[in-house]
Amino acid sequence: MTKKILEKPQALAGLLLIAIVLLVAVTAPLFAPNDPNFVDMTKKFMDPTGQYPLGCDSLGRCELSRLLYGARYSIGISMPILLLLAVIGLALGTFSACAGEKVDRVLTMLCDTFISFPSLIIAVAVIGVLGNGFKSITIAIVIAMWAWFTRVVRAYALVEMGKGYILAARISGCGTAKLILKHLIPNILPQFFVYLSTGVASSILMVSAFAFLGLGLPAGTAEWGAMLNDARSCLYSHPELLLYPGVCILLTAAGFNLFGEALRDILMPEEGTL
Amino acid sequence: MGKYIAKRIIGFVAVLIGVSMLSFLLIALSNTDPAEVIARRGGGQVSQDIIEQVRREMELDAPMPIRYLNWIKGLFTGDLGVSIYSYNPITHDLKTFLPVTFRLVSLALLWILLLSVPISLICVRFHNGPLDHITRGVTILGICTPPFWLGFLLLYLFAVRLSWFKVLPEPGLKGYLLPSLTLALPMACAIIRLFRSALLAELSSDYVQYAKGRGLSSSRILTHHVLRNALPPIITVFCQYFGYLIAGSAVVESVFSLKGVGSYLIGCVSSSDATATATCIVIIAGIFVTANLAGDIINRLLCPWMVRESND
Repeated sequence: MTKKILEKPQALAGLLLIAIVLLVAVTAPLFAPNDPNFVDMTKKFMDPTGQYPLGCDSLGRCELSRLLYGARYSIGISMPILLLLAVIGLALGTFSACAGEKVDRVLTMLCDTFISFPSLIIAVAVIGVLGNGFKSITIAIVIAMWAWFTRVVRAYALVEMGKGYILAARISGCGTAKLILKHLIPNILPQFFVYLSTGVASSILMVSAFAFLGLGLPAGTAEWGAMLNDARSCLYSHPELLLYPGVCILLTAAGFNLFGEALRDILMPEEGTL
Repeated sequence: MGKYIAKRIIGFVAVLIGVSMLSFLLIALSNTDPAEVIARRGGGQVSQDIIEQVRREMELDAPMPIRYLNWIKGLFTGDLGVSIYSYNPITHDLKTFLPVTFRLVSLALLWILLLSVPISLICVRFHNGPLDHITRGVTILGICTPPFWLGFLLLYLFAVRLSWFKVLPEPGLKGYLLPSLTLALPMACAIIRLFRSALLAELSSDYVQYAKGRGLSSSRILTHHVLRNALPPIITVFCQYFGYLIAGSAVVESVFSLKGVGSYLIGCVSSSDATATATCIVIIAGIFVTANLAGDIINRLLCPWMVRESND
């Protein structure tokens, strides 16, 4: 498995990008040349110098430091979201597949209702209710996306439930809880991991879209989407300020997507799968 | 067939009711007091008495189910009151903003159609060739591109550098070209990937072997046989993406300063206008569900043999 990943250039490229972003997120304070939030109007739109390698933004804040710290927000918000989504998805999805027809029907219907809203719209509504803040952006995206995860896990679980080993476990007296934890989840985990990896990419894009729209994060946060929004008035004068944050979002999302995709090719090699 | 459609419509109504309850609930749970927001919108000091008076006038003190029913009645009669965000009647706002979003989304769908079908056909015709590899690379980058950033790149290229367009919205079709392209490109990338694998999956079918055996050219097999058979998933995806495009238009409208439903919705959320927010959400979700239903029914009419579930 590890060997296969290392042999595939696409997987390596994805892993490398993920590793770089994670490293930057963790070590941002070490490498950032300046305080990302220190406002100095005398350095407004300053050209790149040794102390400020990428120059300064409209409030004289160090652009490079803000970009480095931005990785913290993207990763730091997406990870808890994905963790919550994974737990909710695995718990409800396997439960729905095992708990009998009535429960399954109710849960499926609930998922269908949530899926009837485009995710962005649910998240906007939830942020409207909860107000701004890291906690509400997390809750908003979890509420917007849990139904997708649950549905995917349920579909995986239903396929597994028809297999012989589940029947064998049942016959040898395995209870439902043990069946789910010991047999079902370990067997759907690889496929679920692939889904999760592309989920990270979409959650990063969603967080940045919210920050761009001014929803969810306090003003002045060094988040990439918010930085794009701050820089929008510099389209004529300093277009490079619009370029950097976008490249960061693109590369981060691409890392997770490339890796997830390569992983899927390794785990499920047939061409027809999506 | 009739039974299937009837069953789907019942399910559709059930989901719509669920959707309307959910969007109302989200808004009703909000910890901002609508009466207070309305009373304070003029600014200045507002006493508790005035807030209470507003609450009584707007019937905001009624129990939740009554407020929900009043709102639903308003959705049908068009009497939804005045938006706190724009100071206009909500129905009037929607009448002005919905067409903008519809034009944007329709044009984006046209782009997607024009880009995705030919490109995915070429990819499949020259499978594993250089064009196929380039497309794979470009599309994977495309699905990772934040649409608002793409919008700025296009604006910079076409409006600042080349001066073909203006940065501010222009009247007529020209004003919609860049926004719709921005909305379409990431989606088109996702759809090309989907079509490509749907078409490739078809290629291994027996009828393709048979057509090859009859001596038909590869291009003819693709356009005359494979494309037709791969149509159902393509139609489903198109109808689904119609809804996504409407939701995604909020971001694009913001970049290009277009006044559509998306930017209206964000404005309503920021100024805690509960009724207008709930109305926008229910309308967008309603369009989304309707488009999905339409896709399923069209598929069913085109390919009656595609009985997915035995209990349909």
